[in-house]
Amino acid sequence: MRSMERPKRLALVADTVRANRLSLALWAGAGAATMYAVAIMLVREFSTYPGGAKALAPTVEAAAEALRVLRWPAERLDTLGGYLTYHNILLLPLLLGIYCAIAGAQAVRGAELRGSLEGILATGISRTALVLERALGFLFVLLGITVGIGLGVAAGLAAGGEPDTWGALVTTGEAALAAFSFYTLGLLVSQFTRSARTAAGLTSLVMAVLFVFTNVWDQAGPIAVARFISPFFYFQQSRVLVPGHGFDPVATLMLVVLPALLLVAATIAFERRDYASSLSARRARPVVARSVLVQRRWLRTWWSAGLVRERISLLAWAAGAAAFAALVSSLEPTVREMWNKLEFIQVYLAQTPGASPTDQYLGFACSTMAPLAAAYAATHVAGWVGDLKQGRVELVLTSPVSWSRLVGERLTGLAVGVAVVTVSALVGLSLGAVAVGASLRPDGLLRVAADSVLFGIAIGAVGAVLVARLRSGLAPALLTLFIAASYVLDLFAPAFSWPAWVARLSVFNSFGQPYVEVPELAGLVYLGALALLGTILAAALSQRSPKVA
Amino acid sequence: MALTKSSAIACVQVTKDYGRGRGVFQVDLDVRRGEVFGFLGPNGAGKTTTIRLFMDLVRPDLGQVQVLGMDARRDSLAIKRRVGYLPGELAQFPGVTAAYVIGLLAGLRGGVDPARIRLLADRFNLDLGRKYEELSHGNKQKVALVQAFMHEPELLILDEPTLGLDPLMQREFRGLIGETIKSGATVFLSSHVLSEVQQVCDRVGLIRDGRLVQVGSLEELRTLRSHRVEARIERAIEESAFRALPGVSETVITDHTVSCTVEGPMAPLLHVLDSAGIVELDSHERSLEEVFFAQYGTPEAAGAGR
Repeated sequence: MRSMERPKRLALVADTVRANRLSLALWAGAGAATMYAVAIMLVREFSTYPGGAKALAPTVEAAAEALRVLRWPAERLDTLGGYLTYHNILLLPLLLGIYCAIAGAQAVRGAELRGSLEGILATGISRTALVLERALGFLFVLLGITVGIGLGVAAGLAAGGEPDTWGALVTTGEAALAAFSFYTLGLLVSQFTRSARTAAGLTSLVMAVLFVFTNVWDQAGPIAVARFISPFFYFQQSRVLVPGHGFDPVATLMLVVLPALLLVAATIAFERRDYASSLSARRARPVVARSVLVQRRWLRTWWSAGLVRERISLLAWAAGAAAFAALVSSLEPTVREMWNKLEFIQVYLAQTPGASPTDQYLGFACSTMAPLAAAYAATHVAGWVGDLKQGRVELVLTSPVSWSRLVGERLTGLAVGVAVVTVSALVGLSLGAVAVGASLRPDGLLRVAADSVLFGIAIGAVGAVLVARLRSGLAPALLTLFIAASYVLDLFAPAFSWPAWVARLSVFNSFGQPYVEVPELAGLVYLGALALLGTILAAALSQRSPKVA
Repeated sequence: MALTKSSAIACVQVTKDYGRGRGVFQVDLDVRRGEVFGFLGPNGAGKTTTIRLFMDLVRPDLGQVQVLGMDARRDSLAIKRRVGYLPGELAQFPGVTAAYVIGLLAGLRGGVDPARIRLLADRFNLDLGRKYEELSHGNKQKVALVQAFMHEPELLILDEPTLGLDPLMQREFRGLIGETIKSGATVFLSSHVLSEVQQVCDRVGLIRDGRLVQVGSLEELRTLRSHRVEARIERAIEESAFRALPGVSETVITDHTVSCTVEGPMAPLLHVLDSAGIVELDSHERSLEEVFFAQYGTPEAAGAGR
């Protein structure tokens, strides 16, 4: 008999890196490019603003103070390091945290529900080792992302005359550590939930609350002490690129301790529970013969069945969007007060006649519907790939359902979902505005709702083409890249005075400002064409090569 | 071979080439209406690809496929209305009940007789109220079987239908196949378990390395039939005594025991054995499984087909 061999050490570390290599490349590449481009944009802004950076900083600080729940703190905005930290780097742990929360929730629970974990555990690896190797592998992924984005920041700083490569790498490294806390939190929460998606949603919710709370903790009275459990707080303490702050070793140590504690807790929870069952699972109830209603009206179409199946996720999106929109609109008086003090803003606001400052602020709040719809559409597209990989498409196509119908139904489901999320957000926005006495424009709200649905379908149609052509996880990744590139294009085109037609290539540019004015016809035509032609092309591509595996 | 409208399934020179020898090649097949056709082959031989060609889930590079007299590609929706299909790989449906899965597939068909669903669920002892993802493999297979049979299709295409079912449920499944055939339907089922096919099928086809190597009725295939004979005799006997006997092969003599395989008449062998004094004689017909393996060798098709 052969002696028992120990499982190959650290094989799961390599497997984790391999599984995340595409995300790593996208995050590092797109993150570096964005950081560099934003730095260049800020340098241009410094040079073109009357009075330069010294004059610009106080005006931006005032605006930042008014909007501090969304991003804080804003210091030394007269320097590129300070401005870049406020403008971009403070958001990095939040954005990276979403990716980490999903990855953490999927690391054990997702693999378990897909059935791929049983075989790994059967090789003799302990549960603790499994969790640690997965976490270590993901840390390597974050290291790669850190280096990529850090080099982008460093290149931008060097181009702006403030070279600090080490500072850039330390800063992005700390952002990655803060985000890693949410990987471990996702891992822990997933031990208690029935699905990885629920865990990812709950973790993201906790993260969003902590982010907002950390920005306003000094106004939180007795619960201010809760800041100490927030990774964002420690991240904010160590701002290497902001002159006068520098590296904070204690805060950095806490960014290591927090995820370590969560990792230990997740490991203990995993060791204590049954395989394929959450730690909070109820004991089996006695079997009672029951009559189950099988055929329901909403099960007659794929899109309505899908919405019902994903109802918890849709509710979470709707509630999150409503809460966010309510928060933003409730800031209207503070922002309006600040605007009244700034002469250049008065000049800027006068460029849109017929729209009061309140309208323009709420118009800004409504412009967040576009990225919201884009993010929702991207998750849907990822779900379409999941349908294919998990055999649901094969089963559905064996019913009298054509590929064209399936593509159409998917986009219908997406449109309804975007409509639900948008309407919820607009209800939240309206409640927030009414609470602070801000007046609303019903015609504007209607335009925002219609524009958001069109926008969501356009993004979904691009995703449908990618899924039809690629039929793999590459499709949502490329769609995310398309959305990010579009967003960046909309940001950079005016900053770098690029021709108007270049800006129009961005779907965000086409979305316009629907609350204050009817979007440009060219933009609507562009979105409509993307939606229509994308749908037709996706249906044709699917129909032409209907492989399901 | 020409396509005939009267066939339940007809293929002419169908090829789907995935490269490096994977896929199915020049498949000619005719499944008659009202029969149970077994599609046999080792893992990776090309069974699932062939079945997906019938269902328009993959498209052939060459050749034509007709199902129920219609073109598998052009008329795929009309075909699917009349076909019940069980995929070889179970789909995942996280977060929903078995009733949701059945209800969705029934809904996409425009509705199915609820009594039929209840009957099938009861018959397979399936609790439709349970979460689908929490079901065992066998119970998920029951869900797949219920959705395949629920609309009383004219043609059932079943890819490895008994995978994961316990013996009682396998018997229930065979009973259902029998009733389906009595009602005039046709059944095409794939399997890599020959003994299972032997129990329910009228005709079988064997696929290996993506090529259909044999098609025929069980009786026709039994032209390859043979018996394995084992005898204990009183007196020793030379192996050469068996060599000249027609149809006798694989002779093994150890001490006072003889074992051999006989195709065709048994009398010459019995005459020789009788001359040595038969103490004990045992004879059994070889199963299809043994016949096929003797004919085509041990399955070694890993990497071929799909």
